[in-house]
Amino acid sequence: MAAVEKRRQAVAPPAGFTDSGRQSVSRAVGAAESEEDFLRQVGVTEMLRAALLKVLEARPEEPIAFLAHYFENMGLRSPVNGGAGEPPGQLLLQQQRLGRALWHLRLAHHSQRAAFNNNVSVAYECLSAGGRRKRPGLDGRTYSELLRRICRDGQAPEEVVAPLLRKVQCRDHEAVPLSVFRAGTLTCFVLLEFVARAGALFQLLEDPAAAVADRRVGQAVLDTLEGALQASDAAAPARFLEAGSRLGPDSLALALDRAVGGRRPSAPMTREEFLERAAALFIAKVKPVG
Amino acid sequence: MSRVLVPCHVKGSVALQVGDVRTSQGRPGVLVIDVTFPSVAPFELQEITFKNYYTAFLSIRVRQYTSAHTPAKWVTCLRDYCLMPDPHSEEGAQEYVSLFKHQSPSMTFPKWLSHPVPCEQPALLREGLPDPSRVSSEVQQMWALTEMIRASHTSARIGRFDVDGCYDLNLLSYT
Repeated sequence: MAAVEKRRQAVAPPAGFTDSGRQSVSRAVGAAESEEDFLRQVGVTEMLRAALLKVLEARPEEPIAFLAHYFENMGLRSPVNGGAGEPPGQLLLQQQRLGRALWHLRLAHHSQRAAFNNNVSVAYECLSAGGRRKRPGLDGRTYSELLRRICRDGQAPEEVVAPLLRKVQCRDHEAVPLSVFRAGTLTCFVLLEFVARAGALFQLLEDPAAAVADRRVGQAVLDTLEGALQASDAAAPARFLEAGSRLGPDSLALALDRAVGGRRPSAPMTREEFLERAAALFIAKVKPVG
Repeated sequence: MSRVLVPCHVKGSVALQVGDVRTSQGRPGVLVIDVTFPSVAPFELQEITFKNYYTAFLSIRVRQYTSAHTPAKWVTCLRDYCLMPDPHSEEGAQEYVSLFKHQSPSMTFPKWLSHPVPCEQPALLREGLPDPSRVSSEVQQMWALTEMIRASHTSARIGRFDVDGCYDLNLLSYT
């Protein structure tokens, strides 16, 4: 912002952006450029173009809020004004990098695969860039810290995500290649969505007054999901059809009815336990890093 | 056991065709012949006899009235029964064919394809159970997310050389 304001003083006051004709600009002293040239020279054209490209890529539900965050972060990214102060310490730089990488990773939903992969690459480059005291490349400690932050900010309970982190985190000194980085971040985001769906599912199952679910019902649903996830020997299409029929409303209704009809007494199941067990089904299918 | 001819009325063949019959050029490969039985008395069909004329495969579907209260059901007795081993040759093209009752095999579908037997379906869902269609929707999404992660695996390795899961330089140097 400081650069823009300094520039404006060079141009005579009547040459505002909203002026109608070009005559007022050309009349100004030392302002032989048109409005377009001015915008281009201060870099606004490029900035807006990059911002619009990001919006198109991410397709957010709230474009204005998205743009607001984008420009806010851009302000953070540019070098802090006042060149006289000492450069920020290593820890602060690290936190800044993490913050920026996280921001990039959240721009697009993981289902928008092309946009998500682009953002992953940018985040990786951001974290791998060499600095004055930092060798280029992404180390395991930063990577693990990033994964923890993703899960924490996604509001997933810690016990739920801990097994996943154990599987995909890297050791502090290990060098993390881009493919591992991409797979790990994708897995975290997908797990967050999975946990959100499991939470919504629990809300369907729970007794609103008691905020717990009938254990027989919860276990029946989880068992059905586990059964559908068992890899059968059939090839992909048949496996999907089989899972689809198991998870269809009729089949689930039967399973629920059978669970409640049995002679086992009803016992409560908390939301935490349900989420942990559901997440365990997901995490079991994640390939550990190695 | 005596066999009696059952009077039947054979309707003209109707082509199964997509699109406008008048304007479309191609000749369809499937024709349907409706056979109705005007007599009301129930009977047990033993044999069907006919003379083929250049039909390669035959499917027979029967509409059965099991009881007065249930609506009639269509049952497939024969599916793609081969009358001509090679549709482009003459073999079987004008033969007399007899189909017997025992020839229609009992259909065995894979377990997941068959509908649940009516007596198993809960007529009314028990009180207090959650809505199965909403539960199904959430569970299916969870399944899809898990399958996606299972399918996406990176072949890149991070290059660990673990000795009993412990990568301590000091320990390694002693072994």
